[in-house]
Amino acid sequence: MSHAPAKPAVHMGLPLPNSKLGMWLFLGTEIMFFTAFIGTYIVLYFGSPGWPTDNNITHLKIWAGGTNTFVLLASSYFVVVAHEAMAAKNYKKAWNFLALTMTLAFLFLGIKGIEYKGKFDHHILPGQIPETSLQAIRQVEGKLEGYVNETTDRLVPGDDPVHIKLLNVSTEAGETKDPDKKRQLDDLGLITAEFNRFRAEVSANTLELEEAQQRIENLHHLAVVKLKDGREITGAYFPEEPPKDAHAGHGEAEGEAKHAHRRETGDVSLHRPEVAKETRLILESNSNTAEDGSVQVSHQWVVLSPGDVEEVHHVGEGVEHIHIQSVIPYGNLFASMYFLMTGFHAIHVLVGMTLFVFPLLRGSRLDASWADWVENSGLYWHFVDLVWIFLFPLLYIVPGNI
Amino acid sequence: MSEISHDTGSHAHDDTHHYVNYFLIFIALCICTGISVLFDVFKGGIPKSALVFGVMAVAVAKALFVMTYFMHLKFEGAWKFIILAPTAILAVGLMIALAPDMAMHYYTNDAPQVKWVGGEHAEEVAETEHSEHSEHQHEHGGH
Amino acid sequence: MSSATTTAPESGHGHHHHNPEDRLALLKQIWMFSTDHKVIGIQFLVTTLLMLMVGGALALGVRWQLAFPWENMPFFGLLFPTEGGQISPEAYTMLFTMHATVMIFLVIIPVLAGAFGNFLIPLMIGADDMAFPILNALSYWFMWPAIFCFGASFFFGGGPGNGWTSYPVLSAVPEAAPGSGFAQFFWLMGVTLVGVSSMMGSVNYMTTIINMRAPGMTLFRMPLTIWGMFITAILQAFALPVLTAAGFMLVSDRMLGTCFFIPSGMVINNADPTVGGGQPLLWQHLFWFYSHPAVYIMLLPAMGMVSDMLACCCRKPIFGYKPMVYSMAAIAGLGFIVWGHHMFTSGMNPALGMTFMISTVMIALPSAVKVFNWIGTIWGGRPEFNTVFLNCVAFVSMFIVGGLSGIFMAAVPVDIYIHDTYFIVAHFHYVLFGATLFGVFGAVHFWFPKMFGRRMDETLGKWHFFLTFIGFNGTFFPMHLLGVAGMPRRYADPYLHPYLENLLPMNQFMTICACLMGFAQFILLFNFAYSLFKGQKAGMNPWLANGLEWVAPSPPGHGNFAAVPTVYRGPYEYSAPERDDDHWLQTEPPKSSPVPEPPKPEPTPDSAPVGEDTGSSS
Ligand code: HEM
Ligand SMILES: [Cu+2]
Repeated sequence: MSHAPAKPAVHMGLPLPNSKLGMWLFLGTEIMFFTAFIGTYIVLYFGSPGWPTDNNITHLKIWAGGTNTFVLLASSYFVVVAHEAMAAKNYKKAWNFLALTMTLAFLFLGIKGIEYKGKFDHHILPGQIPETSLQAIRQVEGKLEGYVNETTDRLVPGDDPVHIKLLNVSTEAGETKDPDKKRQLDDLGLITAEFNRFRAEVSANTLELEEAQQRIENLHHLAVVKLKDGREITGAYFPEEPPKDAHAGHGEAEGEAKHAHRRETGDVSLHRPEVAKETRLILESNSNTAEDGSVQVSHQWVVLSPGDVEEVHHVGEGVEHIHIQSVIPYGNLFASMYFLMTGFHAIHVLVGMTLFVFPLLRGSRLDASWADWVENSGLYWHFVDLVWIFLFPLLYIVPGNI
Repeated sequence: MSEISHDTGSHAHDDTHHYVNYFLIFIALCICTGISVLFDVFKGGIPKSALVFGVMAVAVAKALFVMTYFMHLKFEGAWKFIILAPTAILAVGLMIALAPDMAMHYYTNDAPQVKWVGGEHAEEVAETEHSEHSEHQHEHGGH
Repeated sequence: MSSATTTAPESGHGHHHHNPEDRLALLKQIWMFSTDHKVIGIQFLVTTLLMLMVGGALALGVRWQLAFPWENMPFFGLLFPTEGGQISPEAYTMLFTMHATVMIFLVIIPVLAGAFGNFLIPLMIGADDMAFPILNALSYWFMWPAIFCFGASFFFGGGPGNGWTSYPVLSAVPEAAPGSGFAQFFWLMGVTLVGVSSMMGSVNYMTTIINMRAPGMTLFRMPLTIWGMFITAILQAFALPVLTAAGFMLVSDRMLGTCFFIPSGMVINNADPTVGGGQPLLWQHLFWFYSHPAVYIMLLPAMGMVSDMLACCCRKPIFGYKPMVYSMAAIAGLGFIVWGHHMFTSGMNPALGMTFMISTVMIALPSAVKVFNWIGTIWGGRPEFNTVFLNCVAFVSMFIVGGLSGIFMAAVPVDIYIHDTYFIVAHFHYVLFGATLFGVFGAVHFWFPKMFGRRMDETLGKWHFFLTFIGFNGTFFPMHLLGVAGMPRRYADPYLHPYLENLLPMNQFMTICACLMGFAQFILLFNFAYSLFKGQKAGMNPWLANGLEWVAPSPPGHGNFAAVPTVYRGPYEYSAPERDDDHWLQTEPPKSSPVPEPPKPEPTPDSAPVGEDTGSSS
């Protein structure tokens, strides 16, 4: 402020530079900002009838949080050293320690990124976590519908709305000259048929979560299998032996027999029966139209030996990415709070890093005029550290214990 | 306070003569972090409330270390109280004031997650829903 | 103290700004990225006066619909050609939402803190500029993205229709209010941006007032305007972050699928029940935790300015200076613990209702102290009935009406009946328009000479005042009656309810008064523009006032004061018995000691003996 008249001879106010006073006042406002988040977290936690606390479900990693606490503490320490060095006019040392701080900040974000990736991989994302089995089933239904609609829209030419195009899939498959496209359309038809069956059961509310899960798994394995004897079977095809523990006891297969029925109900179980090693299993579905017009679907497990199979065409590959997500009661609130608090903390880390960039860019030209800057951005950085000091126990350790 | 009076003349940034062994502080902070992780490791053996109290106490201790030494508050004038005390009161006060309304319920907020206009199965689902909730609440310790 | 010695403005020519060219140069600065607090203040003032007209037009839209329901609306109708000039209920909702938004966030808050805060703080405490001039400029320029966002919200999906309070779940679930999709998002971004602007301002004001006072300007020699600005800045600093945080949560509820305010199992439009687990009431708490202090943010600076103007107009010391300061502080303190009075009918825990009722009734006490002190100041004074004085008296009297209706509503049993009726609308218009805006009108007339070196026209000023005053009371007083008769606020067509049909004529009367009031504002704008060029020239101290700003030239140059002023007394030494002169400048050295005695160390809350030779500070 070179234009200013001479500075007053008497300084009224606090024995602080304006910048430091301003930073402290700003930190006061920052405290209120995080108070709103932490307060929200606390009252919503207590206000919620439950909270997911099992780390295997929430994918909270204590090691990551703990390491990050350490990382931030160390970086805080380095900032102090840098500030000390500035005061001692040792600018080289100050620069080095600022650079160390910066490195640790990157490390912090890296670890945070690993944690976030875990959450994304397991779909622990706000608004996307089913909290009841019904929601889980409805969610997968929605995703399948999205897949069917999107693929139909892509494969069937024209401007018709999707529900019209859907009706034309088989016609289109008959007409197209391109064998590739024909196969895609045929696949789509098969998937759509499976999906419609699934949806009918969902809206009739007859599907338990476990059953639905099996349905989806079968869908993933949907294939058209050509047998040596010229027959062609369409169904869920399991080339490998099913895992013993998974669904053992459900249904049974009769050694060499070609058909396995579940005796109690007369209806075939969707769960794979136990079979000998090296066999191929396929679930064949047949639909019959009854007299009253309703469609009856029956299933049967067909056991094949490897030699029977001539060629397998996998249909279900396209939907293999669609899973039923695990049900986490109160998971959405948890995920909302987790991402809100860690997210805004991470934004503050980024702001702090930006503050350090400027003196670092000075390189060897760092000088006394930056002392205030280093001190104030240091204060800010300690605040970022302080927030994490509280977030760590609040997010990682306390839930479930109170 | 006496530090301040001879400090006012050239307050800028010559706090170097308040010698603090920052490295020791840093070690203390690391130990604190270690303790809170240990709390988690041995949480089976400690009463839950003690665990919570313990980790929060450790957090407060760490915060005080950072504020007193790293942020130099130990060497600042009384203005630190003027800025921080009202902030702290407001921050804690906000949470306390929210508690009766949000954290404790004098009504149930357990809305069943079913379609209001659901068909004959709606009630069924509502029931499973309910048992799921209460089950969960049980393992949670219930609050 | 000659104005000739002042530092020249950036342009480098002209010291007195007494010819139109210089004022043009000043006007040009308004559109440049200036970091001079006076320019920024004037930028804020011009912007907010324009926004006042926008907000007023929106209000007239609302009034039209209430007086002539479903008749084609003039002007606004053009925006709704599809409805044949009629406005839809959604558009009505948008009109009142945006009216409140514009008036609160783009007029009242920025005109007080932004315009007058900026212009007056450094001048009144004897500083050359704000502590952080660039931050200051940024705080103005952040207004524009905010204005852009509010403007954009008009054009997406029919505008935001959740009221300025934006309660979830209506505001949190895009499907809940058909067509509110992106509008609500832009609205929230606008609020966040004005928040950022206010935040930068408030940290700056606090630092400036604490640390940049001229020698001798102890805390209790500060004009009440400065106290008002200071306490307002504190309120902003501690309340606003909570709203910002809540705003982010609401945005992410809308856009990112979180559920802070969305309960579980809510069914909207017969769709699947929402996943959730949050609590809608939480928003109300967080919102009012800011917005109740915010209503004082919208009042305290005006209280301060009116105190200064009244003392000057009446040529009397302000009655009870320290009680004035303490009651402002008490209002601010209590203001933090009364927010629940907006939620008496929300279904919050009844235990809280009682607490908030008691604290709300308590806040009326410091308010009353202030009212009595203003009356005490006028009492026995020798006021000249000029525009400034008239506006100040309107401030005091309208504040009494608004404060009294506040006490009605503070009682839970009464509020359960009148909550969300026009009684509430009457209350807050009496305090916000009746008090604050009349205070601002007075302040515009009072400090205009300091801003531009010319006085505003008295005749036009009086016309503006009387027409506004009559129009104001004609518009808002009947709202008390409507409220007691049970007319709810925010209804596009209240007359659908037979028990409200007979209120139509009263509403028509109010609309006519509102038009009168709207018209009167053009007089103000005209007077402002006219006086800028043709107004009677004003010297340094046209009102013979005491404050530091009156020892700087009109308008002050860059750096404000020729030499750093030294302060010897408070700003209210009018008609001191020991003097012939009826005013006594803060800077005038006491006669007894021709050598300026070193000012005493000031009683800051800091225990350190500051104020002693810190000259070497950077
Ligand atoms: C004597 C002091 C005051 C008291 C006791 C008081 C009390 C109240 C109460 C109880 C309400 C809620 C009414 C309801 O919604 O049912 C209210 C609303 C309101 N008050 Fe005041 N008030 C006072 C002064 C002020 C002042 C000075 C301002 C502004 C400068 C103000 C602005 C408002 C606003 C804007 C609302 C309505 C907000 C909305 O719902 O949109 N009040 N007041
Ligand atoms: Cu209020």
